[in-house]
Amino acid sequence: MSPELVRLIWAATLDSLYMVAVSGLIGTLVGLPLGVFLATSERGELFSAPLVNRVLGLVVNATRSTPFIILVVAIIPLTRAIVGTSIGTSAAIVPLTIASAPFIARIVEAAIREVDHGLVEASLAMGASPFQIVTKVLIPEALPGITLGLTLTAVSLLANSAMVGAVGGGGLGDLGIRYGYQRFMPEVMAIVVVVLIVLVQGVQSFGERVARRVNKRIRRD
Amino acid sequence: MPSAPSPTQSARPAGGAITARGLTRVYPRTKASPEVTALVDVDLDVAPGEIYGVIGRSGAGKSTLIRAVNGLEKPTRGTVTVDGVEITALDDAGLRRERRKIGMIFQHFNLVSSRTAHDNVALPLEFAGVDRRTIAARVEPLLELVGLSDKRDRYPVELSGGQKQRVGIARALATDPKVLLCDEATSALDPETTRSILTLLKDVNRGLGVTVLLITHEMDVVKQICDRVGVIEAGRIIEQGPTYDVITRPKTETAKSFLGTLTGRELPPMLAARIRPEREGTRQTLLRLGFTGDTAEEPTIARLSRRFGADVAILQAQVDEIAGKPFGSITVAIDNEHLEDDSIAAFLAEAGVSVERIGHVA
Ligand SMILES: Nc1ncnc2c1ncn2[C@@H]1O[C@H](COP(=O)(O)OP(=O)(O)O)[C@@H](O)[C@H]1O
Ligand SMILES: [Mg+2]
Repeated sequence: MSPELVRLIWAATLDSLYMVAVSGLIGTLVGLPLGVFLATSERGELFSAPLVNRVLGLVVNATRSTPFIILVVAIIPLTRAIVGTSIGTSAAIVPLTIASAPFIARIVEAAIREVDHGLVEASLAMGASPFQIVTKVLIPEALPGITLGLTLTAVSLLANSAMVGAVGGGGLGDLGIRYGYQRFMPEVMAIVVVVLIVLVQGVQSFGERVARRVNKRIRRD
Repeated sequence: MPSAPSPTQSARPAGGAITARGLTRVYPRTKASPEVTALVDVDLDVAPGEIYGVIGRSGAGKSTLIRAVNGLEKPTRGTVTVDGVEITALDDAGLRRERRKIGMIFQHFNLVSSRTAHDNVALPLEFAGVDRRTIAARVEPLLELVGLSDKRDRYPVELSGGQKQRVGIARALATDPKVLLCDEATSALDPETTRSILTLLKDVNRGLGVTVLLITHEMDVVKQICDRVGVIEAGRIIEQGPTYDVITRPKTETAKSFLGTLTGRELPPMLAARIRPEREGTRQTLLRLGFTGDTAEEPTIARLSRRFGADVAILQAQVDEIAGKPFGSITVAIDNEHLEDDSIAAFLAEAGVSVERIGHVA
């Protein structure tokens, strides 16, 4: 393998990780509170707001049911307004984030709904505010589920980030298309695939390890 | 009131009266279920420093009642006052403040699984915004009080049911409440663990002067620790008073039949099936004799048999301890002819034995 190729692959890997990290981070910042709200705002719940819950649920579903590649194209004007351009690695972060936030929200919602309602009751009986219940009880109790969900998100972000290569984003997908496909260098395509597999494996086992560590519901002696 | 020394604080003047007036709760009709009236005009007076038990069947309204006391449940009508504060009139912030003075424990413990025993006990203090050092100083003695100092760093999954409830009790006491609410606190525990938890509750009550309101469907709980008891049936308190009196001499028929099934006073089904209400055409009368206090130790039946020359068949007998006093219950069959006049009844009344006529058998 030529040093030139190694450099290309290294740069593309960093680009991919950069896209995943930034969009994953922003996606979490938006998705986590959104998910908590979705899980606690039905009628009679902590932040009871059934109407807002319904509307946000619809928005989340709409975003999630839009195929990623269509989302990328559909929000080009928004991307341009935020980043100044619609092509390149930074521009790709916008659709990646918009796709990941609702995904994360649903995962967080599901994890929080799994928490025993008795804990909410007990917390209320202790004089907790709804916000305290979220930060001190619901999120810590849902953490194993949330961690696994974020792992899933990271993996799907890696896959999506490879896709934005097709519309001028950088990263491994872009490299694979330009060299492997357009310049017909199958070995580049193969390396890209191998690097992606290694990354996914790494993310997955790291996520599982963390999830196991934060799970105190399993007995270990 | 007797006060045992406590590691956390000295006994203080008892506070924490609980009063309910005209408490009614109607659960509105939903798509899945019809309207349910869980509580009907309930009046309740729990005196400061006592242990008051509410006993009733599943679905009688016990949980609805106890949850109204700390405002988890909003009654449709009526008021609840705890330690002089009208809970039903508070806004959210006021309710949060008052709930710190009302501890609560639960059937399924409701411990936070991601927190150690120590951190579970610390939780209500964190909610109250207490600083770390104060929390540390408060939690250790509480763990000691419930006998779990060696488990401070254990997670709930590593604790037995009884230990979890001990953590629950320590947690409920963390904010130094005047009142402790127990929602079926021992119903998930085996009999032996139940006894040890009840003993702990009694120590807490006597040692710290905490008023205890508990709900249960288990007669043993009431018999072991309650000073007074109320019987709830279909959303109404149908009878209440000192535990010994209510259990040994229930006034209403509903309470009698309900308490009968709970105290094991009901007859074997084989026998029960043969009982007839009317005397015509029968040979024997069944009586349930209740021996309270001193009379439990007298050979009353032997004397009766000798005095009246009557054969007395003992069908069922049992001696119980209720609120620290013995109570004996004996079901006997006596030939009808001996009951023609009131002499046996008079003899039993003289001996201080309560008599309940169950029916007749051929
Ligand atoms: N949230 C609720 N919605 C509708 N019905 C309820 C609700 N909670 C309790 N009930 C009904 O109210 C009655 C009393 O319930 P509860 O107070 O839980 O009884 P207990 O604790 O004595 O078993 C039952 O018929 C029950 O089905
Ligand atoms: Mg109940």
